[in-house]
Amino acid sequence: MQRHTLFFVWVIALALLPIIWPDPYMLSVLGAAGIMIIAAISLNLLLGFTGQLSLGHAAFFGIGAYTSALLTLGFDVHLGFGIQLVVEPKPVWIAFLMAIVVTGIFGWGLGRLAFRVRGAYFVVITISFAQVMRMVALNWVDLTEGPMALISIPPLTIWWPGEGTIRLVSKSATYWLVLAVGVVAYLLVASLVYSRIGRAMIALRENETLATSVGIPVTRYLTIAAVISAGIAGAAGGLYAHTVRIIDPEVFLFIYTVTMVIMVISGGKGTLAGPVVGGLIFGLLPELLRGVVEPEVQWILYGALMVLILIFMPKGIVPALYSWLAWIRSGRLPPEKRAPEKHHSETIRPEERRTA
Amino acid sequence: MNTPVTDDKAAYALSVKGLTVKISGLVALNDVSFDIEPGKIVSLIGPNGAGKTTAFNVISGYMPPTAGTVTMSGQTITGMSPHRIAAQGLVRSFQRTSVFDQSTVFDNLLTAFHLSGQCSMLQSLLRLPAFQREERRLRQLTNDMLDFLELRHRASEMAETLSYGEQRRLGVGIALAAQPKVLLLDEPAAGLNPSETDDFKAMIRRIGDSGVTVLLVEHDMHMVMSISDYIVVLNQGQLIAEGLPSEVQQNANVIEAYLGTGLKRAEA
Repeated sequence: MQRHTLFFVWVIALALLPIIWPDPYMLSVLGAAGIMIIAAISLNLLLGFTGQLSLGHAAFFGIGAYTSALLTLGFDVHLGFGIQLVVEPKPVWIAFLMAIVVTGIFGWGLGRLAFRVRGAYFVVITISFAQVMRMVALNWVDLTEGPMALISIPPLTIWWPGEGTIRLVSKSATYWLVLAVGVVAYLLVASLVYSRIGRAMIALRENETLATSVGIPVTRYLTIAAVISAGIAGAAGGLYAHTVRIIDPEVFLFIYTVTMVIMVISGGKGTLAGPVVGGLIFGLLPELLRGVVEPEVQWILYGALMVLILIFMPKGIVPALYSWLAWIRSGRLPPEKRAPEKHHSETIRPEERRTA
Repeated sequence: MNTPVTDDKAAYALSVKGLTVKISGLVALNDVSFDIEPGKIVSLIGPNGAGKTTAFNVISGYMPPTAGTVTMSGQTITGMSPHRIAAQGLVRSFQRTSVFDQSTVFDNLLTAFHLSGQCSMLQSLLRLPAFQREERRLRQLTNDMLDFLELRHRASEMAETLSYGEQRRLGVGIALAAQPKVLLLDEPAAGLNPSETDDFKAMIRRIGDSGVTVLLVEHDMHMVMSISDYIVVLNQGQLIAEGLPSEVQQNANVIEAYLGTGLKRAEA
């Protein structure tokens, strides 16, 4: 209950921000960071909860962006064998939802693949997947306009009582849109993780062999995680397409995947708040440092910050905060009420366990 | 079962027939057959390298056999994936990796009760009443299991911080949570001290009394002889003897298999 209350307080506070402090620059920065946070939330489902490292997550982001943009603009391509594919422009929201479905289908493919190849091989395949998508976006000029970019992408709209249909183009409207999608993504992941399905995913991360031995069909749950993860990343990409309103093949760049991974790992993978905290830090830092230090120095600072976080908080910021809070609480209690010490002497080290 | 028993194997909780496993030319199991009656505690013994763990892996679906079949109450389970075999009611524990290290003891068991739930994804995501009821039921089952394992006081600890004996108990609890009809325990008492071993023996007996058929791989002969209803002896992939504990102790083949290794050790 307490956790729910805290969550709603945060959401309301964030929702009121544009009214209290309507600074367009800050709102656009937060909007852009919010889109990356949604992408990081989606990556966290796969990396943090099922334990599969996908280094091609920007591919889902890009597929979502391109699908949504192309469906709203309409296109006309020759597929060879005399087949011509003509798609009329679709309403923006329909295109946005279809983008989520299309990325979900790609996610399904990735989830199936993860069962044939694991570990390093899976990582390499996901990187290659993102590269291939970037090549397609660069070179299939008839469809994607290649490096000339897709331009004039219409914004999302909303019907508001008394105002009629509003185009969501103002900074505060964009901010609220990103916040709304972000809250849905967060709640989706949260309700998934705190259920039998989520426990099965965590079991797959912790000990796959043991998970199968108690009847958990790991194939099924990894596929579910991959589909939902890809779908959320696709939604983030769709948001990007309709708020920035211009996309080029750069959305598939490896640096975007790396940014998501950094956000998830520094914030705390496998925690719900981790990607949000990490995303806020690494999403806002470039803007806070702009004008204060030179861009070259900025890059060095991020690197140093990342290294420091991982040295002092190897599990990420959020788990570190939790254990810090627990430590303060236990410190305030009288000694006899203090939590019992961990039985270090009884803990079996891995090497002893092996010989046993 | 209401249907007339046409296959005589249906009377057995577990039946292994002609099981053969060849791993790149090496014969790990050679034409092994044995039957286990329901509700019995049966031990699978033999010197190191006899093929006991291989037999376990094949029965529980973690390794495909080269030839032979495994049936549970007459139903063939060979070729099924491990999670489907578990859903059929045959669950195993592991020699080493037996718990979810980074989860609490409570969550370990709650996760292991996976087969006891069936809420759809939509019900779970929307937190419908069916989901709430199921969660309450699973939590109740988990609490009952904590009591059975005598691990209630450790419920909120990380599994990796448990003592070795407690981890082994939790491992058995995880297997039991899958509601097995047949439970395979791979050296559950390995590395335990004598008093822990006694506790463990009492627990296995309680499991057996609750109607679960138990198949045990174990090196501790005191434990094997005192707890087993029936014993199957393997040596170098061959079944060399089976019978009641008293019969097996007198069996010439068994004595030779065990003393043989003992003599070699003495000479070395």
